[in-house]
Amino acid sequence: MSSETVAAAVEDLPGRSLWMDAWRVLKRNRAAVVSAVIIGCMAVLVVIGPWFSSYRYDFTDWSNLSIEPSLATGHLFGTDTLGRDLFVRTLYGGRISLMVGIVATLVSLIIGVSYGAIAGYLGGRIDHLMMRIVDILYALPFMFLVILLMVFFGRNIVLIFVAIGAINWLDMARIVRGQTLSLKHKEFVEAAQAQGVPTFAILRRHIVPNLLGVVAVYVTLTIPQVILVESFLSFLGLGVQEPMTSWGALVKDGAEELESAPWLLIFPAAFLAMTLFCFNFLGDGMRDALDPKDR
Amino acid sequence: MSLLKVENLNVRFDTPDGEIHAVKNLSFSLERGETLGIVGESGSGKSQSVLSLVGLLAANGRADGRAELEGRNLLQLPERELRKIRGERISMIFQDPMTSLNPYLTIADQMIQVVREHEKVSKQAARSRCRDMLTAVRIPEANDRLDRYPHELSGGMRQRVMIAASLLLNPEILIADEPTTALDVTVQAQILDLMRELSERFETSTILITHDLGVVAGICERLLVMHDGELVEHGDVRTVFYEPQQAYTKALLKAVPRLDAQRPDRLIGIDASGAVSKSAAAAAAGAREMPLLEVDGVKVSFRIHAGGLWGARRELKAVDGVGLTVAPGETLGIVGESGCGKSTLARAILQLVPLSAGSVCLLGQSLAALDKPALRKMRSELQVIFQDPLASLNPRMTVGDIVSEPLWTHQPELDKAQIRRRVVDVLRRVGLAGRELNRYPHEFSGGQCQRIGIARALVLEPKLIICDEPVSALDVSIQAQIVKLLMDLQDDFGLALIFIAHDLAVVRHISHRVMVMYLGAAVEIASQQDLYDRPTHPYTRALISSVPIPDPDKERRRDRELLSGDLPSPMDPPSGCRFRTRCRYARERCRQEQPELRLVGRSQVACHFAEELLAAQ
Repeated sequence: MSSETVAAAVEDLPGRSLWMDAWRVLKRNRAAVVSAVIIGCMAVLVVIGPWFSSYRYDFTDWSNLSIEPSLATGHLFGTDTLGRDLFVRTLYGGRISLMVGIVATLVSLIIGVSYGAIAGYLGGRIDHLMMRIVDILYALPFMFLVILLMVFFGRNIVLIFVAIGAINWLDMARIVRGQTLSLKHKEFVEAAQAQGVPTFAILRRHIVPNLLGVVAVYVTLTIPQVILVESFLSFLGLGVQEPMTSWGALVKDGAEELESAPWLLIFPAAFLAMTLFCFNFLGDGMRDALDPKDR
Repeated sequence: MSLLKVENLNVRFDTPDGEIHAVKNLSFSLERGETLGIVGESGSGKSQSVLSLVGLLAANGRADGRAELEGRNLLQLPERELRKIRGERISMIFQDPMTSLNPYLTIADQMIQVVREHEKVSKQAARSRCRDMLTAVRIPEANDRLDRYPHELSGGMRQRVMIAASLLLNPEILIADEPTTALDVTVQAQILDLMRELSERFETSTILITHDLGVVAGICERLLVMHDGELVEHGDVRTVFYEPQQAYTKALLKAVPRLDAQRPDRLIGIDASGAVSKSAAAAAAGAREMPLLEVDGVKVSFRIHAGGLWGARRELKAVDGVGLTVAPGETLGIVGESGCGKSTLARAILQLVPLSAGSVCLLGQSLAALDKPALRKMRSELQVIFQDPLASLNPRMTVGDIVSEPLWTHQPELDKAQIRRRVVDVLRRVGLAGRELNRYPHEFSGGQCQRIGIARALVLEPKLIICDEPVSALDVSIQAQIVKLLMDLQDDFGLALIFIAHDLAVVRHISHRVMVMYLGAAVEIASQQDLYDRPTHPYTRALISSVPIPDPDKERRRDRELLSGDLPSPMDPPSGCRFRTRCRYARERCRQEQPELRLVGRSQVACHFAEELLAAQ
């Protein structure tokens, strides 16, 4: 074959990119696909579900205080001690928890990965300076930061996102920097430097794609962690406020009524556990899909 | 009667991709006191066949057949019995002494444990036995060394400790799996010498597994050649070397680059046809013109942290004043032991590490004086090929993207189809099919990966390629192909090459001129022929005489100039001449004065007594 015919034949080969391949592999991973579908359904449900219920999340049904789940009363998941419909409250709680989990994780992902990769790759003084800033932020007590924000800006759910995101990216930056340090002495990075590839392109093409495995795993650990942190803040009265709620807050309330009204714990806990479970499977699948060696 | 008799040995591995038949119907025997060599390329099953005898296969491996040691079938012994046999009757030495020694225990702890595990002796008695054994493997100050940790010893020293530990219980069979592969040639020569002596003294039978035909030529009596899990050829070492019967053995012997070859094929520019090849002509013409690359007095030092936040910093002079020139179309070989600074020099030339002194000029322009865009542009003339073929390719990029990347950077005006055409052309030029664009590096073998690396270096059609140990990670037959490819490309494109390697035979094969480095400095620069035929510097001589020659008769008759001791730490090099601590000709003057590189005969040599040494030859 002459080089023209090979070139022509090669024209027909479909293009291949890391993300397209990852998507193809991910589609073959049944657990990951099922998890993604469940997370998707959950998201849709918490957004539109409350419209189909005849109760509001803060409405007290005086005739049905603390009743078991039943179709007859229309309280699918029963009611709490104040007679509020648990089904609607679980979905509202899901809105807050999923939003906190995803937004705070995205913040920590974007800031953490770029910060860590830049610090690790540039190294030297810049690295020292950037990591000392991280150390100083680490030294700030988390609770203190949250209380400070509350005092200055008043109580607001957005502040929770900011506070959690502001703390979580520190871990991500440290992990990413460590990985970058070991990657930057790999021969393929040196080869790119020797070719004169610009720094930003090296970060984008060589460093970040090779960090994805670690990052994917860490993200799946972060989402549950963030959801739990939010419920802890709510418990202290710093997070969402009654009558608004979150999964964490519902679980806490349910645990107190475990003996008299177990459904108060079972339903929100099941939603929370199911979500965390699915994120873990999805993250695992993502890591495998992003590694060409596993194909 | 044979000591060990293996019949119809089969080793199979269950893997997710199906069963792998690693060793197929292997039969051999081992006589008392003899040294048996098993050679083969990676994946030939040479290690697995022996590991299976002592029950050290991986968990998914199965072995069947018979392996008789004094009437007992080793393959059917229960683990308890087998453990007793390992150590007392059969002991092993592995490739990497660092991983075989526990870093948290002192040498004494590890060795005494071996003795006391198998025999009832007091700690004192065990310790004195260990000390005697260390002395037997020629470790100086054995008593003191016993209380050291493994990382405090050099690589050669660690391998001696391993040998000592394996001989402690006076085993009948010693299995050495690539015992010298991780070591430098000068240390390899010491270790081989030691093994030869010890097997006579302790009357141990040895099975030596290696890929290096030179090593077996020197110390083995009989030889098995394996390929693809099958026994290809076996017999007396001289018969196998001089009258090989099988095609594979012949090919293997032919692929080994030889240090003693009178005129290696097409090496000094004369083809089989007698015509002067293009590269030699270019090199000759280039020598008269302006040199392509001029490196002058380059120094590179790293500041090493001594520990702690405010710990003192010490300077490690990795390269200490090296100068060289490369003419267009010429190949300059750089050889030296590990830690001599040859790779750091390459990185300095590539401007990947900052120079602390000196200059690098490419095409008459000092690279340090260029601003960033100009330097980037200049980089297209200067490319690099690395040692580890897989590690030098980004695992998350397709081959097409990897080879296209230099074009994206340097010729952004090209459209997709043009880039594709260029990439396909260059892939075909390095001997690939050109259809690999959409595959990932791990789908290829080591040799193919190295070809992809070469394609990436070649796609911009540079004037100079620096090859940093490009073939050391490859099997012998693949090595020969890659070297041939590089030489062909040099002819076609008029490329200049800097070929860095620790393997002197390969360097002889490819280079026009050779530079020898020791502890960060050049000790000799000469034409390939002068350097190998009339080495002048004592270090060059020792280096050349340490390289094993794949020829049993020659190898055994050779008059060696072995080096003693190990490479001094580059953190504090000896005063005066750096080589004096290991030099047999060292005198008082060497301690005080550092010799400069000067012209002696036709070579440049850094030795005070070069003339005397040359005259004495």
